[in-house]
Formats: sequence, structure tokens, C-alpha cells
Amino acid sequence: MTGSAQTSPVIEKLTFPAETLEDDRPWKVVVWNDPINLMSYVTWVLQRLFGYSLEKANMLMMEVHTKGKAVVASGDREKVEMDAYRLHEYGLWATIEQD
Amino acid sequence: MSSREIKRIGEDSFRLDLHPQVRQLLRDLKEMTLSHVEDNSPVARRLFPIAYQNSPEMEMDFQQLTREPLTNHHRHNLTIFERTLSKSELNQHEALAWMSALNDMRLILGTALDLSEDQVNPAEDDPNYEGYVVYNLLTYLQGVLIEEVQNDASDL
Repeated sequence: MTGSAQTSPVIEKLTFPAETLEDDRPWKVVVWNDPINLMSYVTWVLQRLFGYSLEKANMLMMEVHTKGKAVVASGDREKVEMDAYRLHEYGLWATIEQD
Repeated sequence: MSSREIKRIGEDSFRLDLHPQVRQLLRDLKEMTLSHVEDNSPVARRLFPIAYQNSPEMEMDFQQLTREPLTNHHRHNLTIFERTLSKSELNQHEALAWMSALNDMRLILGTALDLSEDQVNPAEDDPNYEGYVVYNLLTYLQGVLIEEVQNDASDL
């Protein structure tokens, strides 16, 4: 057999299993705006959970408040599930998405 | 002299200065909140958000993994809250349990009132007027607690 090591990059891409490609996409945690959680509370939780500076936590909180949502963390699926769970412990409306 | 209901007085201590009627109200609210959590009531849905909006299968796995520990977490903090309701001082750990308990109460009451951001000052003839008054009290107490928890003890 010859040529097995010379597969065209295009063909290689086309034959790559779609599921594996999906798994490679980064996961992210999204916090959504809600009418109940206080703005100061959201900032405090983001600082406490992720160690963000007051400036960064405040910026993310304002993004949630004005745009309706913000990506507050990302990483592999296991990490973002733990992040979302901890946000749920604090009562924040957090969801998990993939790019 | 400060008249704040919750005031940081040390690195690991907060003074609690609440009227007995407020303490009783909070005790009743704790009972109501815990029963909604235990009974998986629809008004407790904000305490158990959907994580995977686009994948029922992944959401089911996530719920199976997290539902019980999340329920235990809320129950644990509500229990500490009730146990410390008659105290005049809280330590940091207890203050954080209060933060969780007050937020749980607001999430459940706010959901029951179907609250939106422009509904914080209802008319006195509103059938839910008392509920809004209680909700505003919880909001005030949580706001004070957030400020005091964030207060640097070295500034005292």
C-alpha cells in the first residue's frame, strides 16, 4: 500500500468525525440577567467565585445587566459544569454553552 | 452611632441588631422557603436553573449530578440561618449562610410575585402589597449584608 501518509489535508478534514470536532469547541458559562438578583450581589459572587478584581466583576455584571447576559468563565466541560453548579449555589442564572 | 441592622465589628464578627418582629418574620420566611425547596415547588425553580438550554440529555445528566447536592446546600444554609436568628452576633461563616438564605428567600418570593424590574413600588391597594413590602425588606437586608461582608475589617 502506498500513499496512506499523504492524505490531502482537505480530505482529512472532510472525513474527520463531526462529533470529535464538536468536542474540541470550548465550553463557556453564561450568566443571564434576572430581575431579582441585586447588581451588587452579582458582582460580589463573581469576585468570590472566580477571584476577579472588582473592576472585572463589575464590568461583567454591567454586561449582564445591559446586554442581558455575559460569558463569565470558560474551559473544558468538567470545569464549566463545576462553575455553573457553584453559580447555581449562589442563585445566579447560569447556563453552559459551546462555541 | 450606627443603626445598621447588620454591621461588621471585626474580622470574623458581625453585630446583628434586628427587631424581634423582623426576626420572627424571617423565621417564618425560612420555613416557607425550605418547604418550597424540599417540595420541589414551581416557585423554587430559580434555585435550580437549567444549565443546558439546548440539550435535554445533557441537562438530565447535569440535574442527576447536581440536584441533591444543590438541595442540601440550600437546606444547610437555611438551617444555619434559623439557628442563628436569635443571636446578637454572627461569625463570617454564619454571615455567608445569611447571604445565601436571604437570596433564596428573595428568589422564591420574587418568583411568586412574578417580579419584573419596574415593579418594586406597588400601590397600597395592590393585592400583593404585603409581599412586596417583605420582598423590599429582604432586599434591604441583603444589600446591607453585602456592603458589610465586603467591608475590609482592617478599616474598622
